[in-house]
Amino acid sequence: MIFRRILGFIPLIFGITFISFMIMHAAPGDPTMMFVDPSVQIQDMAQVKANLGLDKPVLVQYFFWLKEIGKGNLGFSYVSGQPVLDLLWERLPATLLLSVSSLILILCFTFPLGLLSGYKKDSFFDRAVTFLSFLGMSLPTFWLGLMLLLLFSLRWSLFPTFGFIDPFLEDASLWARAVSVLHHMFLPLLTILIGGLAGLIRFNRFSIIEILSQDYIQAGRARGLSERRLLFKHAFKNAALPIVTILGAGLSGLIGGSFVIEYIFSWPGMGQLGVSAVFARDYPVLMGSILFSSILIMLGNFLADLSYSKIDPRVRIR
Amino acid sequence: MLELKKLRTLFELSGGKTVTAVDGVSFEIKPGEVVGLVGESGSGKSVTALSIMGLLAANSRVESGEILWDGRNLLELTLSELRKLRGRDIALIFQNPLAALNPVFTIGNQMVETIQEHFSLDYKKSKDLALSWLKKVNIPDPEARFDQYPHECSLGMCQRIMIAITLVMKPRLLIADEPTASLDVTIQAQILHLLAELKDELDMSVLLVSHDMGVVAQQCDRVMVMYLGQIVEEGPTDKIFADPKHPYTKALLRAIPVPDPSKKHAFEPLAGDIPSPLNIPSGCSFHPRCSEKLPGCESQSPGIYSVQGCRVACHLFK
Repeated sequence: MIFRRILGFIPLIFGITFISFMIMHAAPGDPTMMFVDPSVQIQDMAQVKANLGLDKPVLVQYFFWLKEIGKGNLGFSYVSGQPVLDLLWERLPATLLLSVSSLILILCFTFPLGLLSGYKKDSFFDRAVTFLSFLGMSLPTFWLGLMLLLLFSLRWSLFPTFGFIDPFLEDASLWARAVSVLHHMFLPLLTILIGGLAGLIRFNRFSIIEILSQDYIQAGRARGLSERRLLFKHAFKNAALPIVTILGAGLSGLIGGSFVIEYIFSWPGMGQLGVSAVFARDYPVLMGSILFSSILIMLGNFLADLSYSKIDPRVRIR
Repeated sequence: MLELKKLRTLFELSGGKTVTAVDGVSFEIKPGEVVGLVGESGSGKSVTALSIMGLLAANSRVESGEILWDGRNLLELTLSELRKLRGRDIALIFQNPLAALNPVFTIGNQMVETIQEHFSLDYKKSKDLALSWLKKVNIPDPEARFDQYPHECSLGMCQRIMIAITLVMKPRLLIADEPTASLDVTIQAQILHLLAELKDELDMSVLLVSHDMGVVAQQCDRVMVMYLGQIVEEGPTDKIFADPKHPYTKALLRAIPVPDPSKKHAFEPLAGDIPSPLNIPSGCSFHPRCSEKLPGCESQSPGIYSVQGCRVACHLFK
């Protein structure tokens, strides 16, 4: 039952937050050092810590955090003093916009390229796609992002270097603002696409090659079905199954990967917030973004499982 | 109706080597005739069938010869001309019916798409036609099966469904490649009975490819025995079974188990292994396993001799 699956998320969330909490506290550095005025006396520092509850044992702090989560309170940022929930809520749209549009674009590119590349195995097209995929797989995302930024934004000034929207467009028309968002989104999206597409296209190509050698394709040909129908209907649906699984698992990569990308392109999403929180040792914000992204990832996996059972009649969620 | 003239089909192996899977096969199938093609696995039966359908694997090709269908050479047709013929005029059913149906589409979906590929019928009429054929092949509750997936049906049921999908186009020639090899004996008998019935109803010819001499004896008007890519004996079924001429045919018949406890040796398995097609013996290719070998057999390939209404490729009948 779907309900049971959702219940199963609860212990997972406990596990993830517990481990992150422990790692966070094990890491060197002290949040109070980051934001307290250097002129404050050392005995007053102890008082600041006590006020924040940081003098308590880590376990106690974790349970305190849990208790507040139970009440719907994610705490307040050490740095800005704003409620963490508000901060995250403000950042969520940008992150979702980037990850959902990259997911859609990845799907739009993977299938046609993988399908044709597998169908025309060893052709010039296949070789070109293979070469580009290997190139994409071997470029580290953070490096690629920086290079694109360097070339397209700094040298040729084709794209903005940071942000989500041009701040001067506050009162402009919806259309102008949408164009500005797309303009800002182009480079981060491109970086995610190049990294995400390469492996999937290779994978899709291999599944297509394998599927095309199956009896049911041969049997379809023997019944006079057209190549187009066999490729885009029969082979496509079978090749979509493993892609959905991989994307479900890869969703975490998309969200995790966008932490780095959001940071590089100063994209005002949860990832950027999380990374800055790491550097500032802003524990409440960091825990909040971990909680949010783990829920997003679990939802993603859950949706992948659901759609898997929709397209493969042999799988039924129990 | 169908005539093969000196068909030669090659397989290309890596390293430029070639293997001759079908070596100068000639035969004819007349309207309404049921012809058996028998031989051990690896003798080239299935490759002959696939050559006729134009469905050879990418690493194999017809090297020379002609495949005449109503006098038209199938080897000279374009893919789209061939596709109109496939299924409509010449149809093929496979050994493993479950693998020959696409697992992710319903039976109804695959039947309707096949019908609509060849006839311009709307969905309603195609569905009615499909249901009537499911009834004809004795599928209980056709309406329910129509919406089911292949994995929800038994193997025997899948083969009936395959027969329905294939014969709905009323082909003039059905090539059945080991249609019952993957089924239980009782189901085998039912399927063969069904095929014989439908053959009479549709007045079609059948090329029955099988390694099972018993099946062939029951079903066929005429038998062709194949060994290492060549037809070594051909004639009316009753004559071949009552009085086999070629030592290979004799050996095959001796290898059929006889359920008679009074006989000491119920059957005699064929001596030796089928030689590697990479290294076909010189002269008559059967000579290393032959019990009636003559001095010239190693060096000279035999001609084809007519003996009492049969054609035999053996030096014994010179």
